[in-house]
Amino acid sequence: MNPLAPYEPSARDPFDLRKCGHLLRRAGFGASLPERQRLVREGLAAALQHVAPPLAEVPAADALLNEAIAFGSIERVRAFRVWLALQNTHPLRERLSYFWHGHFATSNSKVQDPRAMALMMATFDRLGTGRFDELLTAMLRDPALLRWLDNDVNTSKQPNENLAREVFELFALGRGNYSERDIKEAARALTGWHVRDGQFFRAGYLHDDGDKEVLGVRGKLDGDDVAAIAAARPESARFLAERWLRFFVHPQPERDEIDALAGAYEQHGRDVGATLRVLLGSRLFFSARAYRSKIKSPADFVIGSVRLIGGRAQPTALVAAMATLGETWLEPPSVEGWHGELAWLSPAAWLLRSNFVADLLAGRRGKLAPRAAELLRGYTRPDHLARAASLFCCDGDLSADASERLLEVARAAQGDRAATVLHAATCLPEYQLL
Amino acid sequence: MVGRAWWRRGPSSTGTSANSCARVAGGGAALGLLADGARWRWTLALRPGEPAAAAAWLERRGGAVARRFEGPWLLVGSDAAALRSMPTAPADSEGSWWQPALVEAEGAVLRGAVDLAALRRLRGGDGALLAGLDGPGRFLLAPIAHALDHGKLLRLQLVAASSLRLQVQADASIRGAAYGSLLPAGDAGREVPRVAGDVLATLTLDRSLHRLLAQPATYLSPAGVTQVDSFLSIADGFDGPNSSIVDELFGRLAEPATLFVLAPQLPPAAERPPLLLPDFAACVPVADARVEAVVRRVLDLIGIVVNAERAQRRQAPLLLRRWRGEHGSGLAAELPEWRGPGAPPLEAVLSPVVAFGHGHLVVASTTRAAERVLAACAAPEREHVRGDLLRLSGAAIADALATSRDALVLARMLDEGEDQAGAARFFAIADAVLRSVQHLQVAVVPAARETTVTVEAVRQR
Repeated sequence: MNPLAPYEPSARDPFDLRKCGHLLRRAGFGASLPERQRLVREGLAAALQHVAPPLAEVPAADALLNEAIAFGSIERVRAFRVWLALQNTHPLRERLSYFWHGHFATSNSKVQDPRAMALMMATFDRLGTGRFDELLTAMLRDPALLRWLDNDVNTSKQPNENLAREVFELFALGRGNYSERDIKEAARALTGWHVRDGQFFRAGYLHDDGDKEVLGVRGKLDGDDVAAIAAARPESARFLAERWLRFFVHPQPERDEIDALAGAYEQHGRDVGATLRVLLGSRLFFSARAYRSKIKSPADFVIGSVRLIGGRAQPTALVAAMATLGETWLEPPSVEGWHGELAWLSPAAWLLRSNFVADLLAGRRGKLAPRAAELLRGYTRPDHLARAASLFCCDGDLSADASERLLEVARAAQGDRAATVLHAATCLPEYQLL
Repeated sequence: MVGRAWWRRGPSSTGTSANSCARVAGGGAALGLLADGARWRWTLALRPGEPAAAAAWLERRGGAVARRFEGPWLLVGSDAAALRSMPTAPADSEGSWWQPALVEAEGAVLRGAVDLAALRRLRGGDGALLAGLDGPGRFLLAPIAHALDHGKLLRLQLVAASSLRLQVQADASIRGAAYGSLLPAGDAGREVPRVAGDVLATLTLDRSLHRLLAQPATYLSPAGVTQVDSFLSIADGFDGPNSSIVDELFGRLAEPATLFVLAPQLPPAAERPPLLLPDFAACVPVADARVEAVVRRVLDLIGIVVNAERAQRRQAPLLLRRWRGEHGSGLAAELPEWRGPGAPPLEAVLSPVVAFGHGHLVVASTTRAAERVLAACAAPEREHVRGDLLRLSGAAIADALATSRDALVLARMLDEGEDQAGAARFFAIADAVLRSVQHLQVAVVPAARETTVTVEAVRQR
């Protein structure tokens, strides 16, 4: 059976709040309860359209880019990225930019150029939902990546293999799908792909323009050719399919799932957005295996908490909170990006997550609006408060034990009871799962 | 009693609220605040326009407050103890209650006094403010902090005439204290250059940086001394191992230092950064012309260091060149021409310069600013300044903010979590407020026995 067969809601298996919340968390950064309830009423097709509307119908993500980089501060660029995620104008685009940032993991700690980092993220926004070969070509000309992987010192006299190796290992093919010779030849093809005045610069006099052979293709190859050759390989389709399945569906995808998604990718002309629409509408995506199978990253937790409450908050404060929890955007720990999943959780992280939400709801940081009391206005009885918190934070999908604990908190709560109960809901194990 | 404020007259007689005010306190009011442990009590001395109406008005408030009539005065307290603390029968029934403690300026509409000693007792000790400031904080704010730490009484008065002037005076001065040696002898004031045209802000600071760096332990905390020592351990090497940067550079400059913030020149739209900084220029009198050679040597070395750092970041070097203007000359740095991508960065319009002319050293963010300030140094017109002075021009600041409005709106969205409309509204309000103020001036004058801070706002007409 095709794992990517479309999910068709039925009376026995409806598209309910639980499934809607799952879709919006995985294909975006979550949504408020009224938004989720509206999309449940409108149905699956409307929800899929909501997470991935045609790009022409949404404002460009980089409309405020120039203003964001005007201050020359990486903190401002980070806050701008968080602000975009909070805006949610094109959830899948924001989500994919987050994915590509982890995929082409580049850190400002070495690049030391907030402008270049912001422009790299803008490239993900612009090309991240399109064809992968176009994105890879753009990335091999990206000033931040070229600097990060030392290609700006890759010359015909002294080839540097760093970028070529990562193109094959981390960006396009995965280990075992290329040889050391391919790396050396690709490094020659990438010689002279430099940065000047903050822009890509093809330094012809430093480029090795002799014949090379990369992955069986021979000729006077350059960086664009390396991108096209690597992206066209069938191994690339499987490599990317596995990455997407890990990110969007389940941390340990099955072989048949990878094959099916790779097939869909080829079938849709290697278009990332079209492939992911198939995935997001599939039975696999909405399966019990996928549901709550991943652990929320700090970005999912922090941005998602504000999005779930449906409010506004200070992006700069959220950036700081994410950093405290171990995820500093534009500064991944290594070229492999964030390892995620279980690496996100520890006893200390659990406490920090709890403290973040407590501070946010109490108004001690983040300037959250609306406040918890306003959000749960009208819910006075403890059972109503507990039910509302369960719906807001966990789509009403809690075990009997968790529901009972929430009810106990609601009964005992004093002072800002809404904040207390919402905080308790965000401390549940279920809330830590994506 | 910690504080008292006296209001001279009731508001005009238009409108119901104003009429009520006139009946209850048409002849003025004095408000007092008393600290009693963790609890605060208040007192109010009113001279009612219509005593019977005032009594009836208070009657309607029931037993919430304590009150009694004393001749023309209606005395009110937050409770009986507060009422008992008020002196009976003011000495001068024609004047105002508690007037002897206050200095009255012509036309003061509001006067007040704060018992600094009582406030300090509440905070738990003397000398807390100045000791709590870091090095730059002490350098800038020592006269005010010292006055608050050592004064007994703080007197305030608000005068509303052609301008709104708030004068705050403490009966203590830093002169005579250790930190006072950073100030010039006497408070007669000094002459500083007067820059013509659009000036957003002027800050004149009459302090000796040389003395601070030469004897940091006299003025700074141990942490501050360490910072100065760290700085000097590097800075002393700039002009070779046998010279002292403290004596041969800072020691050859005089006071006061004046910082001018000038309206920026707008580049063509395509070359305009989203965030356009105003021009900055600091100006210091030169006491010994030999400083010029030292500054040139130091700058040459700093230029090399900066360019080495830029090279490490793979940035094009700054172009260092001798600069000669109409009124002075010096060394200027130019950034390479901006070619993108995206909008030009903040620094694209800068051309930092250090120049000498007409007995002054000028350090400016652009050669244009340096030229303007050097021209002011050359001109015979001078401005007489006593103590420290900060002057802000509302409309010029509003114009400067308007050139960077979109970037500032986004910054507020990111920092405050506001939506775009909310952030834009904030700057629209700020713009209206700034444009309503022709200038705002803050002067700090430490005299022999008292310290006076005057804040004066002149409304745009």
